[in-house]
Amino acid sequence: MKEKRSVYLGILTAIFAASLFITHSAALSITTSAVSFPAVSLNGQDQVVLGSTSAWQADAAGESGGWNATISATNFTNGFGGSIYISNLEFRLADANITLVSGDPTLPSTSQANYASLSESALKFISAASGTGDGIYDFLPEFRLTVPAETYTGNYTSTLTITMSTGP
Amino acid sequence: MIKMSRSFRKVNFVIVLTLLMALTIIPVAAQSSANISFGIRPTKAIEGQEETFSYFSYHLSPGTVFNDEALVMNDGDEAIILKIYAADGMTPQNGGTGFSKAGELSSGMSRGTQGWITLSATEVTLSPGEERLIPFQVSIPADIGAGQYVAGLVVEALPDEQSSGLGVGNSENPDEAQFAVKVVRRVGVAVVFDIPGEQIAGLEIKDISLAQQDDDGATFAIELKNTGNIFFQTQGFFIVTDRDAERVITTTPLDFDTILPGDTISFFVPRSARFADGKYLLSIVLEYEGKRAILEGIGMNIKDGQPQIEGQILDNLFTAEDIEVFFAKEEKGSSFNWLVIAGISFLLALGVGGFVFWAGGKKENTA
Repeated sequence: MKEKRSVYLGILTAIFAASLFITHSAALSITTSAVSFPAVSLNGQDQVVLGSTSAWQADAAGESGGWNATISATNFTNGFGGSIYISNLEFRLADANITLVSGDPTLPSTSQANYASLSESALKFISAASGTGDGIYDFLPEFRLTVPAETYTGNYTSTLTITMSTGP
Repeated sequence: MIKMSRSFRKVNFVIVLTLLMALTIIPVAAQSSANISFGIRPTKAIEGQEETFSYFSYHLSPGTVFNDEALVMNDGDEAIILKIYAADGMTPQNGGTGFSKAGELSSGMSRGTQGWITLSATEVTLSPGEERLIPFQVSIPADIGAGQYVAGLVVEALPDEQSSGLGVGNSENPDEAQFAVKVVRRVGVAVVFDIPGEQIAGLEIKDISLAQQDDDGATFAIELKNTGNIFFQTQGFFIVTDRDAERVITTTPLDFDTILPGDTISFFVPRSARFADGKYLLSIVLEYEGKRAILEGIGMNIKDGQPQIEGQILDNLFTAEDIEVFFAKEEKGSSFNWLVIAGISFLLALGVGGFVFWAGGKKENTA
């Protein structure tokens, strides 16, 4: 009987020790990965290319009051007067692409499961309701860029602004 | 002695196994902390105001001046320089609380609230793991009206230039275009000012439009305006009927996040849908703060699979009783789900109890 108790005690101690390693009190933060697009050979037609990125991460450990993240973007410009309106860049986040790293197993939910054009105005794409989302979550957003037929050659750059917020 | 050492071995095995499991998880945390990680939050919560654990919330009279402080943190493992500034609260597309960019103003009732906050610093440099208190002063204008105003405190990191192709031309192919993105990361915490007086909840459904038409079908966008002076969330339905409004073809539940007072914002209907060619009517029914808002009878004509919105064709499609039925169905549906869950749980508990009882009896018989 004592042996059994020792084993259970050992298990509990080890689980407690492991939990000390895993949990932490972090700032609400978001980690993004590089978003890249293939180069496009211009042929006088509209062309659609998909962006590639690896998992982004929302760290909301210790935050149980609810949170959200938004994305906005500027036009692509090439520094020589050429530009591509940002509405040509679309974004989506499928629920299936949100996964738990640690913490509350109730996953935050996507607010933009279908492709939507980006703009200078913020678009909420992931959120956790109050009382949920106290954890760390990976998610994989998807980007789709339409390169208009009239695009000039060059190196185009856009700036994405990603904001993670708590509020009512 | 031999038995004792066996149990010790078991305990050690379990501890080592669990530690190994923990070590496999730690690199995930380490990987995220290898990148910059920063945040901002209140330093104290107010008793009876649970929301103040997450964000600042004050009940104040016009003309009040007071001091508070925010905690800015660097959770990463490299030193960072952060811009810190006050911003106007604004509602992003799809709802919720967001914040204007540095130096920009929002368009709703919270426009200019950033000017109510004076921060003691505009930039902060933090070493890895460092936290710093940033005092700030709040001055509520003396002539401000009643209602809920939202500002924000925002920390912003310098942009990452994340794509490798940036600035590198392709001399071999002059007909090529290359694309790169920079990413600016921000973290914001709301500062809510609740000014006493008459609180008015008001919602106007301004428009339904076709946001997207692709392989998944049609996605609709709904434009809403918070015409009151308090923020709220809203739930309801997107209803598609035949052109005579005699048959409901589909209803999609809507659950929209916070809309700040005075803001006009678009929400996407969460599910895209496919319709056969023909003429339809689109309607929206929303419930908020015990009230209802309705926009009904918007015509949609689908020809060769391409939908076209035609503006309002009919009104008074639904009686108050019809609308009541929509919400009642939803409530009934959710309570039915809970009943099913409760039933399954009860049966499982009964099964486990029975098994334990059976196993106990068998053990007794063997003894």
